[in-house]
Amino acid sequence: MRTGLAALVVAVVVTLCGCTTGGASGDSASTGLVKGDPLTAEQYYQAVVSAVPDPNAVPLASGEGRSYHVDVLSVHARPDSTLVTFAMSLAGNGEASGDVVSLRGGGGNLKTISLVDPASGTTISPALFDPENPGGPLGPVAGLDCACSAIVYLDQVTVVTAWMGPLPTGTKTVTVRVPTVPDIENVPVTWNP
Amino acid sequence: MKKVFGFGPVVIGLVASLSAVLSPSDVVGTTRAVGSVDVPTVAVFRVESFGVGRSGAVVGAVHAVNRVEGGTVLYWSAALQVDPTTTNSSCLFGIHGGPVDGLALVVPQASAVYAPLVLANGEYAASDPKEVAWSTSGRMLVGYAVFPELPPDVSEVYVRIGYLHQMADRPVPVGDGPLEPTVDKVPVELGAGWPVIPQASLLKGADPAAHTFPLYYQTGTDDDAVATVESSTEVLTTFAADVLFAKDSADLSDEAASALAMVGSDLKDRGTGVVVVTGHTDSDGTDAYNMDLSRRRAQAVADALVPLSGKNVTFEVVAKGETEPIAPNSTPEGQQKNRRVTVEYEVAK
Repeated sequence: MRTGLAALVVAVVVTLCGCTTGGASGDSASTGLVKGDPLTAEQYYQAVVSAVPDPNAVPLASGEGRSYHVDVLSVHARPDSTLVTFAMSLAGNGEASGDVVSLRGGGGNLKTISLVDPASGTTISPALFDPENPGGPLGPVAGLDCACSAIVYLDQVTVVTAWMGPLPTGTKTVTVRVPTVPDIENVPVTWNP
Repeated sequence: MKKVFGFGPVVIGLVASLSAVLSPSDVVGTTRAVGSVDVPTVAVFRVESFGVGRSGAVVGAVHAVNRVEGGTVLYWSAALQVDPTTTNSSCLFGIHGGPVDGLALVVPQASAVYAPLVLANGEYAASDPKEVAWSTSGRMLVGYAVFPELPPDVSEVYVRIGYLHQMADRPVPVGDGPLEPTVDKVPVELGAGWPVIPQASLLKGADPAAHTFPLYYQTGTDDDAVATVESSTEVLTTFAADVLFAKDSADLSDEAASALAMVGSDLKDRGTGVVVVTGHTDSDGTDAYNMDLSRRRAQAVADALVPLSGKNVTFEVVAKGETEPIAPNSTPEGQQKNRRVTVEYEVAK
């Protein structure tokens, strides 16, 4: 009897949850999303706040040079790509012009950082594209945009990200290279399917 | 039936309890009813805030990247993270580079990056920055942008978003159709509905090729001797001249053999058409000397590659001397970068 009541309650809950929406949405079923509990807008906002990268989280590894303090928050590898998240801030003797900072040789973004697989000696850096020249031939690297963060303000801890091509399969740790910062070694890699 | 109605308050209580014990980080990968609409969440992002005081951060969600007639629509939302020390609003878009500054879809399956479409009337197929750029603490506003149509085999994309060009935290699965219900009123608050996207006839008037860019991957060797930038159609490999040659010499060093062998092997496997070998120097020495040295070095590299490269390619040697530096010649490090030989070629698809 208890089992029967529990099943009835679950069934009604599922039914109620399924009836709370006001209209059909796009094809979320095809994208594998799970139907979750209803939320208020404030609850949803709080959930997003909790899900985004936390610049104050315990880093995987850290480094500091004459300009920057770098915390590596995550290195997520997949067969077709690698996504790296950092928390960056000015070091005590940072080279700043007001609040605006440029990575030396980096043109103000992360495109010159790299990950090194110590086993193979292979390095990878953020993927590039040329916004001034769609479909055209490869231009000079200095003029290319990248799949990575620009750095404008570092007067606070700033979360930045960089998207790269794949690491060699099975790479377990990498060395992270950021201009002006000593190599950050033995950073663990998380492989995602 | 009476028993079922009798359980009504219990059931409602259970639903309320479930909502109250939300596990915060599991919002990604779910669809949840917010207000009167279903809200899918496929990725999240955080961008440091940009406004008076620059305190706090913008947090946001990617709701969907869906195929629609004439394009691919991205739905996102964002709000200023509540910071008790400030009441500032914050700007996510629209200050530096226009209304869609930083927005892009990065698509490894297509080896391409897509930017928002510009319609025939000159307007972006994206939310007006005045409608979405300025958020306030805890109030999530919804925006959209329409990109060129994705190739049919593309199943997921990465989203670059915000003036800081932040990458959302995970790949986003590609779905179908616009989100509904739509609301005409702007700004669109999360839970009220979804922005109305331009009609298919307008989207089809845009030029997708103008907003589609090859994606170049950067790879190299640990010692910086070889750096490669590669798309699905072409490869540019840069050799540090200090590895290939002794100072002021055009005779290949012992170390050159293994570095050139890698490129020779790739040329044999995939190369097609004309291989352009270009020599560069730093600014030490006269212009004429540097031009001649760069020519001799490029010729030496081409001569070494010819027997390694098979019959599908031919070679062209170009001398640039000191005319195209890629780093300042005022430092030894910059000069070292400028001393280089590049090999550029197309690859068979």
